[in-house]
Amino acid sequence: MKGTGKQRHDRLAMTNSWSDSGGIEWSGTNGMKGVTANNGMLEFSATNSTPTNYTVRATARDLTNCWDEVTVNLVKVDIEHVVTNTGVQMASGALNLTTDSWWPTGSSVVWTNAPAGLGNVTLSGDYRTFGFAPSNSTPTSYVVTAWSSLLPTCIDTATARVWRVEIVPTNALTVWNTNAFTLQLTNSYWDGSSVVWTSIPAGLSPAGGAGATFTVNPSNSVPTNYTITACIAGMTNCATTAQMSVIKVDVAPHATNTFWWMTNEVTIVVSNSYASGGIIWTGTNGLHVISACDTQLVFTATNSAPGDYIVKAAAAVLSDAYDTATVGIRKADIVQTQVGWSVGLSNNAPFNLTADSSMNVTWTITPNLGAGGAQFAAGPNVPGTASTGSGTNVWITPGTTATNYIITAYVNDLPSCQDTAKLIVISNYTVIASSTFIALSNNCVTATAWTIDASGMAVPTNSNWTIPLGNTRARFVSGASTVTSTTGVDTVTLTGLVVSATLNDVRVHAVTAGSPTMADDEWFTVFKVEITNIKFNHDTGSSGSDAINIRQDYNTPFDISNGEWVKGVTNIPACYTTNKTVTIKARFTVQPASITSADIWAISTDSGGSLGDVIKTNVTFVSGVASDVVFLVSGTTPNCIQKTTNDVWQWKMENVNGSGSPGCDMNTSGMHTVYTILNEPVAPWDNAWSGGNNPSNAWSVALDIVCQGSPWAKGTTTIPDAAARVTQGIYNSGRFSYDTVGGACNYTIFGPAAVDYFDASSWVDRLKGGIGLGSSVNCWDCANGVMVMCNVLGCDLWNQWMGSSFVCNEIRAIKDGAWGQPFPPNNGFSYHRVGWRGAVANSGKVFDACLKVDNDGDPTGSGNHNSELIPTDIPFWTASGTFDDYKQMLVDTNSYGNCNVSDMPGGAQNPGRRRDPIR
Amino acid sequence: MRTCQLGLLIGVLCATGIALADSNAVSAASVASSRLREFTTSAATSKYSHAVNRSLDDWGDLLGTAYRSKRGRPIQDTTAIITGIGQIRKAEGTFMKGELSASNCVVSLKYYEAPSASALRKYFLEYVVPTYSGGMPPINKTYGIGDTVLSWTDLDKGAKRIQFIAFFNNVAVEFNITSDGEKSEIDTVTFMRNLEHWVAQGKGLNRGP
Repeated sequence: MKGTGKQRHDRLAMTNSWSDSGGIEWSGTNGMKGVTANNGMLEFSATNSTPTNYTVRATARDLTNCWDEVTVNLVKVDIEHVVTNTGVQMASGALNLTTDSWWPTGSSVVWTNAPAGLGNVTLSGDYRTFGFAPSNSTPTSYVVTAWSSLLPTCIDTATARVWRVEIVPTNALTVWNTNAFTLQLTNSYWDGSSVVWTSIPAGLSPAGGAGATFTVNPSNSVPTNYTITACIAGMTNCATTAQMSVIKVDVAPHATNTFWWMTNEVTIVVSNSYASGGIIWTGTNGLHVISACDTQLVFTATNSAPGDYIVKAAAAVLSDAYDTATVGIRKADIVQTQVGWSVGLSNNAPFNLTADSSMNVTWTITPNLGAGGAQFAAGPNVPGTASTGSGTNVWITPGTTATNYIITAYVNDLPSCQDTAKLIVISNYTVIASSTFIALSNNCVTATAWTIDASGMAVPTNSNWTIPLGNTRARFVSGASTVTSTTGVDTVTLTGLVVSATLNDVRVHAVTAGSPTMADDEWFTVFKVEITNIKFNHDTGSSGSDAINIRQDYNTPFDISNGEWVKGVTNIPACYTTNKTVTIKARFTVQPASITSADIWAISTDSGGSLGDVIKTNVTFVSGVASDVVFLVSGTTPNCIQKTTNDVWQWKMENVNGSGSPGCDMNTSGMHTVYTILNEPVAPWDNAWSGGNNPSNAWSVALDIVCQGSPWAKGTTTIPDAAARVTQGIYNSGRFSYDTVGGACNYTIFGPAAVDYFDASSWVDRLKGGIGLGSSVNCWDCANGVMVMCNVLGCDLWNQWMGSSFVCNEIRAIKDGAWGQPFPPNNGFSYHRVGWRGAVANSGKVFDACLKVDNDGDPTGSGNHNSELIPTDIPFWTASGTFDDYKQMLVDTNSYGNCNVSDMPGGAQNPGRRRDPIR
Repeated sequence: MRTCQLGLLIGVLCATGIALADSNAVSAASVASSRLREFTTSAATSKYSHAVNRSLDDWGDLLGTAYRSKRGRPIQDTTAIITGIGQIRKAEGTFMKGELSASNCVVSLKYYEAPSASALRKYFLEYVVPTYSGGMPPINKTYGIGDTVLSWTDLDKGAKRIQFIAFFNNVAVEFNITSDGEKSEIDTVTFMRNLEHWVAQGKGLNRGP
């Protein structure tokens, strides 16, 4: 047996052999290449032969059974790769033998690597695959060798590279304004390839590079955080990343000056910056910071200490990354507001800045009158000669001219930051009172302190006050007390004791303390104005802009000749229609009679009344009286029916005789009782005045009832609603019961031939709790009652007849009688009357206060009444429908033909609609 | 009390109304016709001359001193010539006992006087009855007061309310008496006897209802 390597040229030779001339025949060489036989020798080329096991036989041609054999193992160990590259990110790598590698059974292939460092080396069972783990290997280049254990010279080698890249630093911070920052590779191996650097997002300068280092220029880069990647060319999965932040802090504005007293907020903004860990503000001690965050600093000058600040905003993660702003809080605050100084004084008026004011200040004086006027001096007793001053304290010589000056101090580097004070150079004093008129009694007037040369400045020194004339008409007070001493005060208050006999007969005298001593007088008038009469119904011929005509009841008129309200004498109610602009007329008296005019108005001081304020009007007095003065009442009358009893007006006045005197209280009027109704009363009521003797004017006794709250009409705004409430009010009053005996009229009074009148007086009396004419009523009475009580509110209802002789469904007669048909044996009404709205037609609306009907959808029959209704504002007859109109609910279905409405008067029943007269 | 009274009345009516249900209109018409015929034919010369030509105040005396005319509402006493009937005098007044509305008794008196008994009845039928929503009242047989008594109520027992018209030849007086007192009922029997005595003798017992 002979073994040979794959790349050898071997020969086989016979020894001690002989053959005849026929020679040797070689066999078993199929697969061998380059075979040459030379009788005693067989040569072949292992390189080109197929690696395997050969049995080569040499046979004598002449004697074929003379032969010999030899086994030839043609071994091949051939690593498929020359070079294999792996990265440490890879879990496995491998080298394989070529498929034609062969070695005899029983032998093996031996693999080695050098240098050591490959991790997790494995060998497959057939010796053909050499495995390793790059991730567990030392990055470098390895020589891997494989050879046949049978024939060690049969050997092959390959190169296995393990690549790795690692960036330092992995998390870099750099200040925006540096020029170079370098990232490097460490513990890296990329022999045989190259390294490529990239970055995201865009904005880094440069964006990428190659080689062992990567140097960027932060100052040319956009401040932000970048992800830097280093990758070995050709092996994308062998890459590594690092973070790099370009930190920038930039604030705006970089300089700001502001006034100390400015209350508006000043903001320093962080812009065009990147500071991932936030901003730390420093240098703000003394500033009144409102808020400080990563985007801005907000402060106000007010409450900040004046001075210069360098405010610093630094990145929390990199203190070297910062920006600053210069903030100047300027203050020029003159201690004095106003200084009074007399002409000719040798000492100078001092003006000072507060201790916290800015130091670098300039003072000016306006007007600048030169040598004759006020000028800045070098000291308290040095004559002033300068038009400007500087420093925190200045002195001003008053000069010889009495006038007012404005003293200004401004900060030099912020001239608009300034303060002013007034220097009043005075030559005499004048007493100025808030008014030269004093209202009598408790209405005080303050004689406002002193003013100087009419400039409005208070005297800086105490004063002594007297009332040398008129002291029986006025006195000094303090609060509610009389003041006995008025020495040493600058302000006094006066109250009137007795009305002045003439204008300006009270003199007040004041003497100032201090130097120079001066005095002045003021003259006053103590007056008294009263409202004595109010006319709400001042035009009895019309209610267009005033109250309607009313009376107490049928027999009792209201005497309003002097108005409804006469101070201390009369207080008569008034009645308005809704939503109306109204006027009143009023009468006033004034003392002293020499007062000729004043502005007068009134404030409504009540809660829940009906009338608003009285609009201010200039009133002219003649001989101490102003009569029938027309006043507009603000707003409009209420929008709904109501009665109020608490309207009170506090009357006020000002501007006596055009003096501009301040407002003061007069007397009050009220409580006024005010009714509000929808419209002028409708017949049988009559709004015609007729000299005050029309008994059909609306009666207050009737209004008292219907203007009450539920179930009456208070709060309603429409005729249907008001009429419904009145109808329900009558039915539910409990004051009436239906005359189920005969159905006789009781409150409707007949003469021999016709209706005489409806006894509304007794009806109202009954509703108010009186006896009236007793409880018995029939439908005519109730229809009249509804019509009359509604029409006094302006509802325009009628008393409507229907008939005749019809059978009824079961009803509940007023008030809440048992269900049943009326009047046996006919079981119905010979006629019926109801309150009515609209035309005499089936569409007219019924208001029936004398009965309840069954409105449960089936009013027929007995004992099945599940719902009941006082008919209000429901149509008389719709012809169709299912028991949802008045006729269907009231009348037996077989009697529909006997129950119709008519507007044809005639006979005692007087069919048709009517409005019986009232008494 | 009023509610209870009305309830009882309606209750009775309902019980009889079932039988009348199928002939309701016919029954009502026959009743009215019967009443009218009896009323118009019963006129006779009155023996109660005392009742004639009296003022309403005189009639008020019948009620006794406990009653007073309603304050502020004088007695109406008017006459009118009515075509086809002649002169009609009508006086009306309201008398009441008690000061409180819940315990009073109110008596409404209406006095009618015509030229003759027939003229009075004609007037009554044409001008007075039509104002009653209950229609024509029945003739009461119990009391022979006057010539005819039309009454809606049973005059044989007390009640909270009684209404009747007594005819005395050419005079008729309508009584409408209501007691609003919770516990009081009208002593109808006594009142009717009092009335009869008064109209017959010219003087009363000064007892009200």
